[in-house]
Parts: sequence; C-alpha cells; structure tokens
Amino acid sequence: MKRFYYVLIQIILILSIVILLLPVLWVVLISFYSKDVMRTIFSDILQGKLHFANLTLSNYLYILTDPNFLRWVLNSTIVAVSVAFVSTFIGFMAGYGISRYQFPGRRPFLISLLVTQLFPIAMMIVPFLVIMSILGLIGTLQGLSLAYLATTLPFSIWILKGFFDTVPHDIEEAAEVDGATLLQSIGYVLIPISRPALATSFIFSFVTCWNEYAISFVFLSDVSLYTLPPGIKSMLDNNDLAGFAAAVVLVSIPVVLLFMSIRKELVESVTLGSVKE
Amino acid sequence: MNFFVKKYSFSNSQRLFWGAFLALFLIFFALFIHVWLFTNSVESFKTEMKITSLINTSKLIYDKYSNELPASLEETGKSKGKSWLSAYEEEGQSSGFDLFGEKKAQPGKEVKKTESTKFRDFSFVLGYIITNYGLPMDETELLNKDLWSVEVIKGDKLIASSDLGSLDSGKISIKNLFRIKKDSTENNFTVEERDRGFFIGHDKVKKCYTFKDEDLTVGVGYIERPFVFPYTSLIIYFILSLILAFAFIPIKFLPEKLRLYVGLVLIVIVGFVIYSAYSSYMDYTIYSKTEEVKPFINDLFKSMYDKGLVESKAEFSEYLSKDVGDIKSVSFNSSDGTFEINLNSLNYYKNLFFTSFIILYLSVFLLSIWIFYYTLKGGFESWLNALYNYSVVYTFIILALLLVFILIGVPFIFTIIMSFTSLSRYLSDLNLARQFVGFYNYQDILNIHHILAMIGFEKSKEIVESSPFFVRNFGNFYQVLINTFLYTFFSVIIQITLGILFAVILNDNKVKFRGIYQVLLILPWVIPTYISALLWKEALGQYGVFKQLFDSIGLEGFNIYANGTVYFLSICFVSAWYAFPFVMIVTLSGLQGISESVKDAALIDGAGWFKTLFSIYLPLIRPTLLPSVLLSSIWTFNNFNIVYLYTGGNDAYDILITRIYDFISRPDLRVFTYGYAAAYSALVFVILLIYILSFAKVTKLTERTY
Repeated sequence: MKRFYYVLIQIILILSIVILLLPVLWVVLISFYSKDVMRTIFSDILQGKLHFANLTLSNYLYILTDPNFLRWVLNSTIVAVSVAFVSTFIGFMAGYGISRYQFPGRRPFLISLLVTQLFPIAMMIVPFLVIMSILGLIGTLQGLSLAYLATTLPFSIWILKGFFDTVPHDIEEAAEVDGATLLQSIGYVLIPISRPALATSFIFSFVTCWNEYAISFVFLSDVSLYTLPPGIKSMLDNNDLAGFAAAVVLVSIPVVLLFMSIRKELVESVTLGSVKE
Repeated sequence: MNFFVKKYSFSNSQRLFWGAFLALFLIFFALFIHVWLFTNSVESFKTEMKITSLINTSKLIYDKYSNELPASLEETGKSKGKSWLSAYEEEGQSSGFDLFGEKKAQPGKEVKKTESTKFRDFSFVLGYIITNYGLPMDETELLNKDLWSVEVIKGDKLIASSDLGSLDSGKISIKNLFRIKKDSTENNFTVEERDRGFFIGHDKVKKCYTFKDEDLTVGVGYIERPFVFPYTSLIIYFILSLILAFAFIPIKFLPEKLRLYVGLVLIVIVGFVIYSAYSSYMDYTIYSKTEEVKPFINDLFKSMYDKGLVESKAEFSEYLSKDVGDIKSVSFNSSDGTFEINLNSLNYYKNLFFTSFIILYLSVFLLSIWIFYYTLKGGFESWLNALYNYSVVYTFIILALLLVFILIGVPFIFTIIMSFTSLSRYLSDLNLARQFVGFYNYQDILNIHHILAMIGFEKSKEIVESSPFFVRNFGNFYQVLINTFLYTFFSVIIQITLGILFAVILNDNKVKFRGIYQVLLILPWVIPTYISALLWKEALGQYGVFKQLFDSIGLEGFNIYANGTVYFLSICFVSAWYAFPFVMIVTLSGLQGISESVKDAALIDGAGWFKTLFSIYLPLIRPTLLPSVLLSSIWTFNNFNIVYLYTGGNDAYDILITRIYDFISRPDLRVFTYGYAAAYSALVFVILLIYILSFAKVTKLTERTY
C-alpha cells in the first residue's frame, strides 16, 4: 500500500511536470529541427514520423549570424551590465551606511524603498517618457538605463542592507584595532566577505534589465537599438518561429543558470527575511 | 559611540536671515517655474491661434465650395519632382511672391488643373500666408515666423495646399509618424477629434496639427519652438532673495513675541507684491501676444477677400470663432475696418494660466511660511547639526538618496502633477500651465455612467452608447478594475494550490529524485516572463503544441480563443504558472522548519493527508506563507509582461497596468493621453495602497520587519 502510494506520487509528479513544462520542451525541440517541420513537430513525434537523425543546428547558426540579433544581444548586455554595476555599487555604499548607523531620516528612507518595490514599472513609464524627452534621452540606451536603475536600485540597497545586518560589527572593529582606516576596512574586509550578497544584487539587477519589455518597447523606436525583449517579440511578429525558438533558448539559458544560482538568497531577500526561521 | 555635537548654534539675526532667505527663495523658485512654463506656453499659444484660424478658414472654404469639387478627384501627377518654389514660378509668380497681382499664368506654361478653381485660389492664399508668416530663412526669424505648410485633404486626396507643387502632384506630406510605425496592421480606428502628429516634407521633421472632420482633413505644419530654460533669471532670483533677507535682520530688535509675526507679515507682503506684479505681467503678455496675431488675421481676410473667396467680414469672423476639436478659439470683432480680438474670449485662456499659478503659488507660499517659522524655532540648525554629526553616513548614502529622489521621487510627483493636466502624447510643448484641467481626468475615468450602465440603467446605457469612440470602448474603468481583481484572485488561488501541493509532496523524504523535481519546478519562475508569455501564446495557439496534442488524441477543434471565459482563465493560469514556484519554495522552507515530532504526533493520532495539511501544516506555516501570498498577489496584480504579451494587447482582457500601457503605446486611442494615463496611474497607485494596507491589517502583518 505504502509502496503503491509512492509509485503513484512519482507518476503524478512526472505527468504534471511534463504538462507544465510542455511549452518549454516544445520550444527546445523545435529549435533543433528544420523550418518546415516546425508547425507539426509534436504530432509527428507522436506518430513516429520524426527521427533524431533530422536534428539540425541550422536555426542556431541562422540566429547567430543575424546582425540584428547580435546587435540586440550587445545592447542588452551593455544596458544590463552597466545598470547592474552602478546599482550594486551604490547599493553597497547605501546598504552599509543604513545598516551600520542610526541617523535622522533612516526610517522614512527605508519605508519609501520598500514601497517603491511594490509598484509596477508600467506606472512609471508616463513620467519617464516626458522627463526623458525633455532631456533628449528618448530613444537612447542611456535613457533606458536610467529608467532601469530606478527599478533595480531599491532592491540592491535592500539586499545589501539585509546582508550587512547579519555581519557582526566586530569584524570592522577588529580591523580598526589593527589600525585600518574606514576605507581600508571596507576594501580589505567587507568587500571580500560580502561577495555573495554583491553577486545576488548584481545578478538580480542584470536579469531584471535583461528581461524588461514594457519600457524598452516604448523608449526605443529604432530596430538597431532594440534590446532583446522587443527584438524577440518582433521576430515572432514576423512569423519567424524557427529563429524565435533558437533565440529563446539562447537568451534563457544564461538567465536560468544565473537565477538558479541565487534562488535561495533571492527568495529570502524578496520576502524580507520573514522566511527565515 | 560618538555623541551628538551641537556645532551650529545661530544667533537671532542669523535665524531671521536664513529663515527669510529660505522662505523667499522658495517663493521665487515657484515664480521661476511658472515663468518658465508660461513664457513657453504663451509663445505656442500664439502659434496655436494662427493654426486654428487657418483650419477654420479651410472649413469655411470647404463648406462654401465643396459642391464645386469634381465628384471623383483624379490624380494629376504632372509636376512631379519639382520643388514647390519652381512650381510657383511656372504659375507666373516669378517676381518674388506677389501672388495677388493681376498676373495670370502664361498660357504656354500652364500646368494642367483638375481641381476647382476656388480651391486653387485658396491654395494661393495659403501660399501667400505661409511665405509671409512662415518658412523662416534663418534662425533669427524663428521668433516671428512659425508656420510651415497647410494641406486640406478630402478623403485621401489633396484639394488645397500652400505648396502648389505638391497640389499638382497630389502628394500628401502630413502623416502621423506614430501611426505608420506601430499600428500599420490595425489602422482601422477613426480619430474623431484633433490629432497632433508630425509633418514630413523637408530636411527637418516639423510638428503639425491635423484636424479631422467626417470627410475633411486639415493639417497645419509648424516649426517647433525650442524650449527655453531661463536659468540666468534663477541667479537673479537668488541674489534678490539674499538682499531681501538682509532686510529681515533688523526685526531682532523687536520684542521676542512680536518677531515671528512681523516676519510673517513681511513675507506675506513680499509674496503679495510678487503675485500682483506677476499677474499684471501675465495679463500684459497674453494681450500683447494676441495683438501680434492681429495683422495675420487681417492679412488672411484681405487676401481671401481680394480673391473673392469670402464676401463679408461677419461670415469670416463667425467661422474664426469656432472651436477646433478641443482647442477653444479666440473670437474676433470686426467693427471698424480691421479685426480686433474679442477680449472676453481670451478669458478662458487667462483663467487657465491664473488658476495654475494660484495653486502652485499658494501651496509653495504655505510651505515657505512653515519654513520661516521652523527656522526661527531653530530647526535649520538642527538639520545642519545632523548633517555635521552624521557626515560619514550621509556620504555613504548621498548617492542613493539623490538617485532614488531623482529617479523615483520626481517621476512620482510629476505623475501627480500631470494627472491634473491634459498633456498630450506628442509633447510638442510642455504647457502644464495652459493644459491645466483640474480634476477633469479623474472625473472622466471615474465616470459614474459606466457603473450605472453595468448595473442596468437604461439612461446611462444610452449616454455611454452615444459618447465618443474612446469613452465607449476604453473609458470603462470599473470593468477593467473588476477584471483585474478577478484575474488576480483566480491566479493567486491557482498559485497557492499548485505551490502548496508540490511543496507538501516534495517535503516527503521518501519521495525519490526530489532535487531534480524541485529544480524542474522552479524553471517557470526563472525563465524570463516575456518569454513565458510568448511561449504560452504560441503553445496554445493555432499551430501550438497543445493543439497538436489534442488533435493526436482525437479531440479535434481545440481552440483557446473560442470561449471568452476559458481564455480568461488561461490568462490566470499562465500568470499562475509563472508564480507558483515562488509559493512552493516559501512553503517548502516553512515546512522544513516543522519538527519531526509534530509530524509523528499527527501520524499517531491517525490524521489523514488532507487533515494533516489543513490542521497542522497550514496553521504552522501561516506566518511565512501570508507575506509571500501578499507579495505574489501584488506581483500578479502588476504582471504586465504576462498579460500584455500573452493576450497580444487584446483590449477585452486588459488589466489596469496593461490599460495604462495601451494609452501610451497606441497613439490612435486618444489625443490627450499623457494626462489621462497619469491620472489612471495615480488611481492604480491608490488602489494598490488600499489593498496592501487592508491586507496587512486583516492578516495582522504589521509586525513585519524592516
């Protein structure tokens, strides 16, 4: 009886995972087949018409030689890396300051940071569009990066503040006793031990920018300036399912790996420590 | 640790000086902001008056002579490739632009005409006006010349144009760039009111107004004025408030009780002087700008009269006073020989400028009075002391503080301000002052007739049915609100069910390959959301994997779009598909915190699977689960990517966030979208705030750490 129960559990798990992940399986599969079998690939497999010998890498070759796609990857990388770097750097300083010192204005600042995380990015598009067009930054990657910074910065500050809360004061005090200045103790002591938190903040900011669609679609009108999300959407609009499938797989893999590596820290950070026992 | 050092301690005269300086500079700053907006607004107001009079004149000509137009306008296409200047020369206007002399076109050079001569005459009038009042030859002329081109279009045929070359070739230059770019596939909307677009036709892109009637389109291209920022005047205001602040120092000789009141009275007096001076300045400027339009109107009438296009002044001024779309016209009196501006009709614009100024000024004024009071009581010193004592911390957080203020605070405040204006999408000018509309946007969004019509009031239904296109199809805020809540509710239910079920199953030590399953089940959460949405859209679509799956097991005719409810639930499901791993991870970590003895006790008592779940697990993990449910419901509420990309922006399945996005990204929907969308955003903000606060209150989440 007990044994039957566990076999049943296994079957249910496998079945439900297959159904839930069917679109993902499908897109990975079609990215390896030639264009003409795309639309009927699944029924072909079920009926045994399709053979693994027909596997091809042509979709990947096609997408990797497409100048537009490479341009989008470059744009996305530039925006995401620069935003992630700036937001982690500023988040590190602010997180350290907020965590270590009590000062007037600390509480309202923290509450405002919390509140900003709860509101959708689409709400900020209108003022951003107006402000950026006054500054002449509309349609440029710089303007887009500024808009993204607004969304990633509060979270970076929050993650790093939460991390420094868990690091005991004694570490810096020991460094101070040894004669280190504040900057030295930050450079030689704090940065090395806060590497995981810095990585979390960097990866989260990177992935947020890498995945953002709404703002980039409105901000960028020039196809050569597109980032990946509007670019990939435009491939689908052009009925380019083969290119879409290959692009989706290529674009998702780094994100999935990065997110998988920090998922524990991420869940802890977004639930603001309430998950911790 | 260190203790608070009182480095700064002000004497009475210092306090008076700083208080007065801060208060006065704030007042001057408000003045500066309004002067900045006003001077720019009033310039484009002038241009707008010219544009509306040209549009109204075109309407007059069309109403009078449209019967003279041939039934079908044939394309002539004779003088392609010629510049419009050379086209004029061919018409016999070689010596300058003396279009109204008696010269007739030379017979041999005559270009084939198919249009009615009245409209051709009108084209000459337009060409004359444009050469006199538009088309600047260099940068210095920009201030006086602002028009670029006029085109009158019936259906899709050009019937009159200030550019004879394009009239003969039939080439229409006024187009709406936005529409061409993003809505080429669904260009089947009719814009009922005025539309602002761009004008293509020269080396630089100019702005234009297009007015559309049922069958008449008038486009006026104009040259956009550079937005001037008078930063030098800010320095003057700074010095002025410094000087004035010195005058406050003698107050210290007064008895202590009187000081505050005398200072306040002085500030009020200064404020009032500034107010009255600026009011009369505004009055004068508006008047003088309209005076500058007068010769234009007179010239327009004279040339029309000379050509015999219009018989009387009364007829002309009647048409001039008509409103163009939502622009109120300024009417003209034609009493003694020339046209004079009717000062009463200017009042509408004056009121707009004055109301916006009074609101801005009053609020800043109250703030500055508070600052004066606060500084006298020693508040300014305490700020300086805090800055001095915590200088290390503030250097750490100053960058973050500034960036958060600039990138989040300013846009937020700006949204609130914009929601009280009718700011248009094309941002040809940032006339927040002139476009001030009070609570009109909110009134429009919260239109009570929509809710009454939904309940079933016949009268409200009629009102909604007879309202303009936009209100009829996109104005129902309540419907979207209900949709959003239904969508959030169902999606969260699915998330919680899936998440808890998988968590409980995976929490069982005896289930094999738990690690693999867990990684696979987290995948939906880590795949980029825009990709998930597009993926599900394709997978459930016509050629998608689910269609193939159902076909192969014999269930032909699977169509997710066939039934509205099913499609709606599929949106909820896709959104839940993305979010359930988060609930699962949180529940799992909560379940792992439950000690083995509790589980054993439940087993010994003979509790079944469901009983254990509902009576033991769920109550125990409640403190960790509830905040996550709150978070994930907010994310679901805000999940733009999934809903927008999965539905492809389908208006019937909009949630609040995607509706806002529609207003911004679809230029065909409405003219004054930015103000409207800002008001929508502000309402969504309020709704979210109410939701978060009430959720926190109901579930007693208030002890959350921060």
